Amino acid sequence: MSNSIFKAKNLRFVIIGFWLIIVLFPLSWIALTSVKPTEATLSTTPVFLFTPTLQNYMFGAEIMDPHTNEPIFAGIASQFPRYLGNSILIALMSTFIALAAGLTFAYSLSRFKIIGGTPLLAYMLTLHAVTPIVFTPALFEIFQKIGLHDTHIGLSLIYATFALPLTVWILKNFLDGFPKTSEEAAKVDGASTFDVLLRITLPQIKVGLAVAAVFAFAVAWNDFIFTLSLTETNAATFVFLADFFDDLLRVGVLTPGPLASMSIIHMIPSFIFAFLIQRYLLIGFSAGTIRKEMK
Amino acid sequence: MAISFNIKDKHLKWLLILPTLILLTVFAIIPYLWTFGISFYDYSVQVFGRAPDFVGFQNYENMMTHPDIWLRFQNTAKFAVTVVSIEFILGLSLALVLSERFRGHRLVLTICVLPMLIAPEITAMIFKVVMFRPDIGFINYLLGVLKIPFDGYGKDAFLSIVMVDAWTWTPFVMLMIVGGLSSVPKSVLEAADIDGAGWWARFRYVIFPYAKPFLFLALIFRLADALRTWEVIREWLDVPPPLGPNPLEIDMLPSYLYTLAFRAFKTSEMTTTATIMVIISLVLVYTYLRYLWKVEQNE
Repeated sequence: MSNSIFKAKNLRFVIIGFWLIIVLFPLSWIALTSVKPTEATLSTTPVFLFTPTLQNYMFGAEIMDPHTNEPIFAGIASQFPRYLGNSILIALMSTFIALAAGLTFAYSLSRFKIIGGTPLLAYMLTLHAVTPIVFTPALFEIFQKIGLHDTHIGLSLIYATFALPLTVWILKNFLDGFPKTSEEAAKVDGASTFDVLLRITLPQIKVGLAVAAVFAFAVAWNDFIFTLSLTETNAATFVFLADFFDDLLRVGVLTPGPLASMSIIHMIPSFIFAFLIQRYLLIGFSAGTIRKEMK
Repeated sequence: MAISFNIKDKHLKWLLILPTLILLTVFAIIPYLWTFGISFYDYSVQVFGRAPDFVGFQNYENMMTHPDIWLRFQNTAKFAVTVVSIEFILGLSLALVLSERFRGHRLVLTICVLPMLIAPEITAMIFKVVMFRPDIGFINYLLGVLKIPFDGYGKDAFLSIVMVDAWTWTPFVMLMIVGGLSSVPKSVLEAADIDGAGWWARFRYVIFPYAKPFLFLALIFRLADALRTWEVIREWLDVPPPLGPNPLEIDMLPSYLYTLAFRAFKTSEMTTTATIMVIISLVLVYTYLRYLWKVEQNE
């Protein structure tokens, strides 16, 4: 093929194979660690042959101190389902809020002339460029004042806000690509703008909604700084607990096993989503989305 | 189901943007203003009931004269330049290789995306515990077998952090450039072949001009991301002293913000440094937007 960018075909597969190993090795190693018996996780030479065990996934059970074989911090381990539940609930709530607010916003900007619309989009971009730590003391104070501290709804609203730039870009891009003509035809027939949005436009941009939902979900699911600063125990999420496990590990009362199994559980939903929407995954990451947006 | 929303479009359009406006105002704009405002006060969130004392530019003066702050600026810059260069070299090579479609192409791209989908905090912990830990880490074992001296927690901490970042974000650069390479017309490549262009000439004069806007965007995005990386640095800073790194070698601005806000509760110092960081980020975003508007005018 003379018109391809990269010509050396064999070299190509060597490079691709090399990178796949780099990406997949740490992931498989952590998966292996999560099913290893305790002694194997602490071995100084890597252990490849062992009898797999699910003990690291038995979060409800007590975690044993490797030195004394006594149970430690049983109370925290048994709260595992609650933290996981919090993560799921908050991620779903914030995804819903981000989609509802983002869709109406993107629709309004796409269909009507809004004074200050473009500067507003530009401002949203800055939310993406600034480290969220900047906001935490201020949000801590605000949350204390309005009683949102350590609540599910408070955390959901924060995640929704920080997912909005992405959902708005993606949805507006899809809305701009969908022709106005059928909407106008429906309006001539006497449908209200709201009806049109709900019954004609929405079904047309299902894919955009799905992609935006996945990215909004990831914002909430992957956050650490806000759960650390704005929750205590009631609404704390899974990553918060993982960090606590890391603290236990540091002081030497925990083995790497439970941390590994926790990481694996954390990765599962994101990875499933990645494969489900792999056809559209590029939309969220590609520069094209945002470039088109600013036109 | 007849929804009787008999609102005129000119009202409706404002009603539709209202939820987003409220969320942004309460959770993003007000915190910005609060952060900026409190940087002129002496205040700590830990001390409830104590009114903030107005101190003018005192906090800024203290920050500028703090002996270690420039080291943190330098480390941040060093980290950003290092990771962005590495990710560009690797990302560009991978993008060139992946520009052609083949069986399993999409699967390879999806697998490459996976590291970006993990919470940065979890990635940092995984690498810290199972890859770089001196006694049980796999990388330490591997380099030990190859007789390469490596102290991932101590003096080579910076290198370890760069490796974790490159593992996560190289695919991002790759994806952006793949997008750019797909805009190179086949006919132009064929013409270059007929003219007998060498591989460098092909890249420099045929491929590069098409890919340039995407390279630039990837650069801005990655720089902005590199300037906000803190999870992995915090993890490494938390390694206890005999094993751990010299904090001044790896501490950067975002991780410093974290320490000020969550460990030292020095809120006014934190907001001062945060204001400087926000300004740096705004300059980056502004550069990016200007570039977009220029592209738009040319098209």
